[in-house]
Amino acid sequence: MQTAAASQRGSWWWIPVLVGALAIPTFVAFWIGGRPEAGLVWGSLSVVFGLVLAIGGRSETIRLLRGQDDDERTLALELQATTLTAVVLIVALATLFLVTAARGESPVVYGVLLLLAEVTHLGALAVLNRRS
Amino acid sequence: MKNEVRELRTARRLSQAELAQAVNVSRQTINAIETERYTPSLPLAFALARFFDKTIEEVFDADGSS
Repeated sequence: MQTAAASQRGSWWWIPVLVGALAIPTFVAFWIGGRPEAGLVWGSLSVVFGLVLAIGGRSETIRLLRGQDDDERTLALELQATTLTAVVLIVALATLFLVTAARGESPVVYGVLLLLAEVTHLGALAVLNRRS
Repeated sequence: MKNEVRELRTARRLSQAELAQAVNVSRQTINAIETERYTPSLPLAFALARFFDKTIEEVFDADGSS
């Protein structure tokens, strides 16, 4: 029987670097699509978010995002935040699916993403239920 | 959950950081337990009770859950 130990991960820096580096594929994708200016705007959002993660270490919330000071309470907080994020995303996808269908356009992309969410949820429940 | 963690800790002249280090959690988690904002897991409750040389019932009041 062990508690989820508090840990000071020494390698937190890779998270802001990864978030900032997402600017590169973002810009390249927009550039290939013929809209490099939009790629700069969207890519700069990743850079700004990465910078906030890199220099915001005095904030407990930023330290949580960077995966520092992990213990059972922060893991529980992370789980609740992830659940809330998933609910918001699924409600947004369902809304977009219905609005797109009502406008006479193809809602296939939103439908596929909703199906993916449902199948993932179902699969995760089945696996976790068997393991517990 | 109501508990005696703050009383037991201060009686031993320990800081929240020192108790946190002893039971391997963050200082913020000790603070959250003391202020009844977080109910610890069973392993952590056992660890705290053992640290203070008490039973779980002496440290935590399940009937006084908040």
